[in-house]
Parts: sequence; structure tokens; C-alpha cells
Amino acid sequence: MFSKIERNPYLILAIIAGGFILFGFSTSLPKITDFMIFCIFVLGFDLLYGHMGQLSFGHMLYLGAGSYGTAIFAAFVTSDPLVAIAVGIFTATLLAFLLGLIVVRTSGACFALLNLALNEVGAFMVLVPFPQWTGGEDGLSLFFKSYGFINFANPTFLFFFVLGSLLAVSYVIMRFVRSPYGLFLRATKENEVRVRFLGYNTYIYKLITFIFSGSIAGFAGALNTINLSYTNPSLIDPTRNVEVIFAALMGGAGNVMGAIVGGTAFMTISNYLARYILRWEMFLGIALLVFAFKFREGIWGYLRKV
Amino acid sequence: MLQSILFGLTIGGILYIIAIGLSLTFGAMGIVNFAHGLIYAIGAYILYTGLSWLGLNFILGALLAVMVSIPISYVIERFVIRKLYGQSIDYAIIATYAVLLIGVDAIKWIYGPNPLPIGDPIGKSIKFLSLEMPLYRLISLR
Repeated sequence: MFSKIERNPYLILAIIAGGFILFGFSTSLPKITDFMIFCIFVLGFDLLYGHMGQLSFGHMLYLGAGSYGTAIFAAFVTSDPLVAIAVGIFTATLLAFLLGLIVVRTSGACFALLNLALNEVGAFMVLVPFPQWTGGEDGLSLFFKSYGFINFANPTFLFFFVLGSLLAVSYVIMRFVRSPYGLFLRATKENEVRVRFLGYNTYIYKLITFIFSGSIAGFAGALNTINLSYTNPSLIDPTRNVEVIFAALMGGAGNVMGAIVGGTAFMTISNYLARYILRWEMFLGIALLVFAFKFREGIWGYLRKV
Repeated sequence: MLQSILFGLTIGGILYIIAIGLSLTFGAMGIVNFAHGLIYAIGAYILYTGLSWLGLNFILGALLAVMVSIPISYVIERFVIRKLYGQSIDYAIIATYAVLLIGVDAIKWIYGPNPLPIGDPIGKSIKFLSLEMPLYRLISLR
């Protein structure tokens, strides 16, 4: 039954929209807005991990770049939210392009650790050298102006704006993955040497995927800034990378629906379990071990086989 | 300035000892061991336990730390890393990071999240041209 759902992109979009609207109006809208932003981030990460087959341990860097791009632009140039989001995405895309030129040449453990190192550099750059621009430890507190019905201070508008963004990103990724390009990407994941023997320049394709993934993460960061109306260094913190890896692994890598299921499940655990268990990170570690050893296909991958 | 360079050198010496262990696992086994930092932290905390709870002197405390960290590393290798040889390195990274999360939380559970003080084990320092260097740091630099 679940594998049939997957063949129809519009059905998936309808399920996502319906599920989040139900979830949002039955609990609280601002919390579910947070969930959806995290899902967008997981989608961007999953493009790299699930579809390209490279584990990045430093994807928070692009979230942070989008977030700080938006925040600095809004604080020092103009407080127009839509332009600020565009600037945030552009910042993350540019950063992903510049760093991707180097990073994509590596693979495996080297790729993961290089990303982690660059993330450490980014976190340091935000914290120490330019406190008058980035706000240092405290981050920036922002105000976004509203015009007409576009008012980001209104939680209902924000909820539907983020939902629309999530649906758009999911749709673009689904089209991207089903295109010949996506097929090519899967071939690269299976065996890169053979694809290169066929005469394709895998470097360019991997670079484009990396940039695309970084810009989606930047979009999530920009939305995060708009949602919280502040930014702080926890959005670029390298130790938080494990959250997105865990979410992608838990939902099932290489699948739009898996990324969304994983992101929602992770946010539910971290929001609700932390209330009851103080040491919830230990639970996270144990669950991560179980998923890495016994349950690699994840929740959605398991449902799909049923 | 020179003072901080000297202090930096001592920290570099300690990091070198950590890194040489890590490169042993990476080079010989092909596994990136994120739990390596956990063993390092466990060594420090066992030393603290030896000094303040058991009342040992510094050398015995350090020996105890080494003795305790050996079985813990054995358990990590036997039950986590051994299942991952020859597979995709991503899973090794994720699994050892999970071990790190569990261990760090266990340490926080036992000792609390705040830093714990340990006194300078030698308590002497060498003065040279307005530079002051604790002797212990010089020894660790050697």
C-alpha cells in the first residue's frame, strides 16, 4: 500500500499537507512550523546522503549561512522579509559553490570530516572575528516589516507559508530525483568508477547536487530566522549535525517521504521526550545504534516493504 | 604572547598524543573512531576520581585512568566497531558517534555537567625572563 503512494507525487504532497495541517491544528502552530522547517533541512541533507550517497557531517554550516545571510541583511540593509530570504538562500548557495569546488573531490570519511572541519571554521567565524556584524554569542535580534497580508508575525500566515515552502521543496526534489539526472545520481551512488568509465564527468554532477543541497539547507536557515525573528550561533553549531543525520537515517535515506517522516519523528522525540527524560541524548545514541545496525532502511523504508 | 605560544605548545603536545591514537585506528582498521574523544574524557574523569575520591597520588591516578580506559575501549571495539568492518564507512561514523553521545551523557549523569577542578600535581613553576611556566606543563610537553 505504501509503495503505491510513492508512485504518485501529487498524492504524496496531499498527504504531507493534510498530515501537517492536522498535526498543527491539533497541537500548536508555532511548534509544527518548527517541525516543517526541520523537515526542509532534512530534505536538503537527504539529497546529499540518500541520493548522492555521501555522508556530510557539516551540513549545519549551510543552515547557518542561510540564517546569518538573512539576519545580517535584515539587520543592516532592509527589513523586507522576502528579499532577506532570497539573500539568505543566495549566501548559502554561494558558500556551497565555493566550498563544494574543494569538498566534492573527496568521498567517504574524508568528505564527512572535511565538512565537519569547514563547519567548525564557520562557527568560529560567526562567534569570534566579527561581533559587530554577527552579534557574537548573543546573535542578532530582528524585526521584519509586513505589507498587506504578508505578515510574518502572524503564526497562521507563517505556518501556511512554511507549509507551502515544504510542499514546493518536496515537489522540486521529487521531480529532480525522477528525472534522468536523478537516475544518473543513483548510478553514481552505486558505482562512481563505472559511471566515469562511461564518459561522464561525475565531478560536475556531484558539485551541482552539493550546491542544490546547500541552497535548500540555506532556505531552511532563512525560514528559521524569520520564524524565530532572531539568529544565534546554535544554528551553525557543529555538534548539532547528528540531529539531521539521525533524522535522515530514522526516516529512511534516499526518499522524500522518508525524510519528512524522519524529520517529524525526530522533532517529536526531541520535543516531547525531553520533557520526561532528562538524559534524552542517551536515548538518542541508543536509537542511533539500533538504526545503524539492525534497521538501516528506516521507518518509511520498512513501511514501504509491507 | 610568548607565554601563550608556550601554553599552546603544551596543548598541542596533548592533542598529538590523542591524534596518534586516532590515526592508529584510522590507518590500521579503516574506521573513523568518533568515540576516541570519549575515551580521552573518561581518562580525565577517572583521574579526577582517583585524586579526589580515592585519595591516590597523581601517578597512580593516571595509571588507574589507563587501566580503566582499556576495558572500555575493548567493549566499544567488540560490540560496535567489529560489526562494521568492510562496510560503508558512513555507518562506522554514525555508530561511533552514537557511542560518543551515550558516553557523554553517562559522564554527565555520574559527574554532573560542570567542569571539575584538579590541582597542579607538581605545584612548581620555572621562571625564565619574565615567562612563567608550570613544571607540569613542561613535562607534558616532553
